Amino acid sequence: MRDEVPMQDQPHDESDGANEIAQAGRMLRATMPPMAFPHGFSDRTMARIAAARVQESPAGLPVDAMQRGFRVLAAAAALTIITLGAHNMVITRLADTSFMEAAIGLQPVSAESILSYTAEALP
Amino acid sequence: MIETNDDFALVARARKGDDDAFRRLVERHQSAVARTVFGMLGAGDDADDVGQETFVRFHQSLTSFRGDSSVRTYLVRIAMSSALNALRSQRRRSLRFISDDVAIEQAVDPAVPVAIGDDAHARRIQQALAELKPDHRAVVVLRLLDERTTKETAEILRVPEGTVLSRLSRAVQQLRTTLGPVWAEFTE
Repeated sequence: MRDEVPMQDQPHDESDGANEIAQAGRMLRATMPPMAFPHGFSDRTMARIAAARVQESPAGLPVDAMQRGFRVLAAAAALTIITLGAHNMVITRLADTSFMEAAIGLQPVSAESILSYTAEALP
Repeated sequence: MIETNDDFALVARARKGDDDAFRRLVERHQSAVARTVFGMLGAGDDADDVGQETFVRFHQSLTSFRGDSSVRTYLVRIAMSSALNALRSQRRRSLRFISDDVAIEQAVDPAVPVAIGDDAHARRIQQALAELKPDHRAVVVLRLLDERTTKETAEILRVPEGTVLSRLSRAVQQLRTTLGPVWAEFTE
């Protein structure tokens, strides 16, 4: 993996550019501090992986999947409410009845009908 | 090749929930991840955190790892992506909380002469590396520090080889300009 860089891999045809890049590489490698994680890195990493596992639900459903499920349910509920609202609004307008009556599912009845029923019922 | 086959065998075991197998992958490849992360972020808590995050992300993607590239290349790609994200977060934090005065105070004066092998010399070179644009720094880290080929660098960064070469050329020009006398002293 750490093969020597092949000559045809150099960025410029001119040797100056290639030399400059080779010099830069030597300088950086010579001056960078030791690049290793502090002792116990694998223990810390495995602990973090274990902690990430705990965040999964007991049923084995990842939290993300559950959140997505809730979002789909919420969107479906909102769509249903909007559809019912629009439906009831149309009934209210066309049948000249109150929005509440339409919402609770009463048959649309016109105001004239209600008045005539009321007049007949009165002594 | 044997090492690669061993890696794939360990990945297969880790997929089945074998934590010891995954731990062996961590131990085997942590130095490659460290070179990438330290090269991009410098030493510090962020580097350790990004190193761990790299392996957590790898663990989460074990089922989708197809083995098109070696485990090491795959891990370096995740490490580079995580380091670039960390750099973006650092930049947002510094823009929010650190004034220009503090940044200037922390900078090392390139006119002050220092000896090769001196800590200040190393700090100055690391600072010059840190001043490169993240995309350019990524190429320098992979190509010059980690000594990968242009082809490998291009594969890890998912850019054309020509882009790697042009970024490398510009990065080296900027390093030479930024380092000035330090560069000259080192290359004499």
